Amino acid sequence: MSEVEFINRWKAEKRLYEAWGKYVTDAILCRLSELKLPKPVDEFIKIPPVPRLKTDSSLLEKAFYRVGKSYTDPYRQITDKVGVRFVVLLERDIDVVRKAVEDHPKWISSRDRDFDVEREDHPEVFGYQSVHFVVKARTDIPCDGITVPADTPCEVQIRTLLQHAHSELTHDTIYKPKTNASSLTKRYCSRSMALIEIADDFFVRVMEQIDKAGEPLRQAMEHLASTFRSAVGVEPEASRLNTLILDAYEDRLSDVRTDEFAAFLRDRPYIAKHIAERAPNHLLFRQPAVLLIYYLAQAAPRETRRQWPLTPSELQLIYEDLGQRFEA
Amino acid sequence: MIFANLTFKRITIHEVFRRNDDRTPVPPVYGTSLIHLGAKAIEALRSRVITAMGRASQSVEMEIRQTGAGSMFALVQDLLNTTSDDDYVNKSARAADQLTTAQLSRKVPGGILVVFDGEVDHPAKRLVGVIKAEPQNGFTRTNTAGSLGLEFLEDLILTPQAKLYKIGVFVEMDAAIAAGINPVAGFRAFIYDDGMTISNRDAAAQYFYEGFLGCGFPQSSARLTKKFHSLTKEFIRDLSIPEEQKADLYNSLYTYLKVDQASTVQVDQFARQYLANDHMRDAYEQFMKARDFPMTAVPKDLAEVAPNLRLRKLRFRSDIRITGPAEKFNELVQMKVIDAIPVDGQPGSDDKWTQIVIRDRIVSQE
Repeated sequence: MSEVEFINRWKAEKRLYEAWGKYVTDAILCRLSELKLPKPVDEFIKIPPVPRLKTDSSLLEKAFYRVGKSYTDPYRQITDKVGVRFVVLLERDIDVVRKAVEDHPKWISSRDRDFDVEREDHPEVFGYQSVHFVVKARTDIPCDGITVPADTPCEVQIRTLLQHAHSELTHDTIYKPKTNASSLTKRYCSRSMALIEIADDFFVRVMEQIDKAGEPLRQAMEHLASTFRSAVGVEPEASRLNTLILDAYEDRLSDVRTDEFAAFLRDRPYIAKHIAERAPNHLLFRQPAVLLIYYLAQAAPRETRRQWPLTPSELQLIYEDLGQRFEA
Repeated sequence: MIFANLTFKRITIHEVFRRNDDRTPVPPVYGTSLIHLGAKAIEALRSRVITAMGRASQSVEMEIRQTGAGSMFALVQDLLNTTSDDDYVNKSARAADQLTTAQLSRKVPGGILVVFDGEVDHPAKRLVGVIKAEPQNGFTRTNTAGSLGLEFLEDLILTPQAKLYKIGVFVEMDAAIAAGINPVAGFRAFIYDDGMTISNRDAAAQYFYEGFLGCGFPQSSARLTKKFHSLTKEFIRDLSIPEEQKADLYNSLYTYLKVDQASTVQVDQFARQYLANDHMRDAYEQFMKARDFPMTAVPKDLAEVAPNLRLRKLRFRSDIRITGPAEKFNELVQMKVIDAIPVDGQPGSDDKWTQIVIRDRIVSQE
């Protein structure tokens, strides 16, 4: 295939690769959102994944001019004509995305590059780290008004933020031999990659500590959310407000006994009724934490008011529901 | 709390007037239909009632004295049993007549009388309430075609300014008893009147609670005042604070009951005036509530507690006692807890001693 034939075919099929890249990206995001992640997908993935087509020039360069690569059928063998990158915080998060990519019914995935394997094979090397998959459509797939033929490839990269930073720093200069990096530069790069592996270890430990410290709060949130669901009869909409409120009363959580809390709500069915009535128009009344506020307002009205993190008037309805005077 | 989950069912209003110069009554103007309010207005009305009646409010539970025909209590029963809205409107006008009759003095201003029924608590208890709202003036801003203006309003009522309204509420605590031979035993009456709480059950307020609502200060006031004193003492005793601070609190309790001119005692008020922080205030309220002390105001009646207020007493483990007249104790006796002083080179113990200064000379000893 000549350079001209190559580029003409590429120009004709670009739209198709574009559609396939988008399809793969959306499908992975969709799978991630079905998993029980500790945070929403758009927070779990640190950089919004945008599928990108290779530019004409870099494609031609790779196909015909790259030193050390000799393709027999460059158009078919170059599998990263379209690619998408998923960047996460920790190495352990990579596995989550990896699972979402593997075993997808619509495509066949193959691991092109995996730093776990590379570490195993070359334990002494601290180089570029990233997980690369090539996913190929299993059958012809209609998407975006065109049909993507079976076997169309898309590259999926998965890496951590730190790996990404390292890659941004080094990629152009070291692994694509346009310029020759000095030994000293390479040494620095290896050192920083080694440091990144250590940093990830510590990051994980930090997360474990945070998780442990936040455990009572997390349990309280879950308990409140499930109580909200069953008592009020609608799905709560826990926003940052919920966390803000719970944080403000964290020191009081240990005083709240679940049986007393349940009895409190059982004896006062009007609380759930008021919450349900106000929920549609009032964000506060869609937060599971509002149940806790009723409880605390009854048990210790002054302290509860003093600790309230928002404007005091927001509490007025709650206090007055309970038959309690509220000084604005 | 009694006033939890307050909901309104039917609301009417009537207008009453100040008496003529010759003290003949001016007939009221009657409302002719139920008042329908939007959600926000209902919230505001509820807020006015809770502010006056709810937990930590200055309302006083009163005894229902007048129960015969023509009494407010009879009207309350009648209104509760009235299902037709038209009848309700007409009957509620009798409240305006009764208030007009009760306002004997020319000093008593006119106002709007709101009559409502509704429910509180769970399981729901029915209630009837009356609010006499005196008008005040104020401004509202107008905005016509983008031009801001100020409009003077002469008869604003039921603003959050609680000095300008009085409320009486009759709650049917037990429907079975209320329907029996002694219906009054099935009800409780609560009254809020700013004028009533200032000094010695002012005659100025009497027309409202007595003449109009047929209520009187409960016989149990003296017992409750004594209970307030003994429970509060118990609470102070069990606090884990330094003895000097406890001494201050005992003195405060004496001051609150004996010196303070307020005509009621109230848990929230004592907490706010004398306890150090919100945590202690909440704990005090919980303590009192757990022992069934009312969360509203109680008429101050010192008849039973007076003997307990005469003397302040300190007693030490070694049976040393110091006793003195309560009203001068604070002034004449100063005490300080100090570390025990080690004797004869004994290792310092962590025991505590008390240093007392009595600003007086000894007159006799035995």
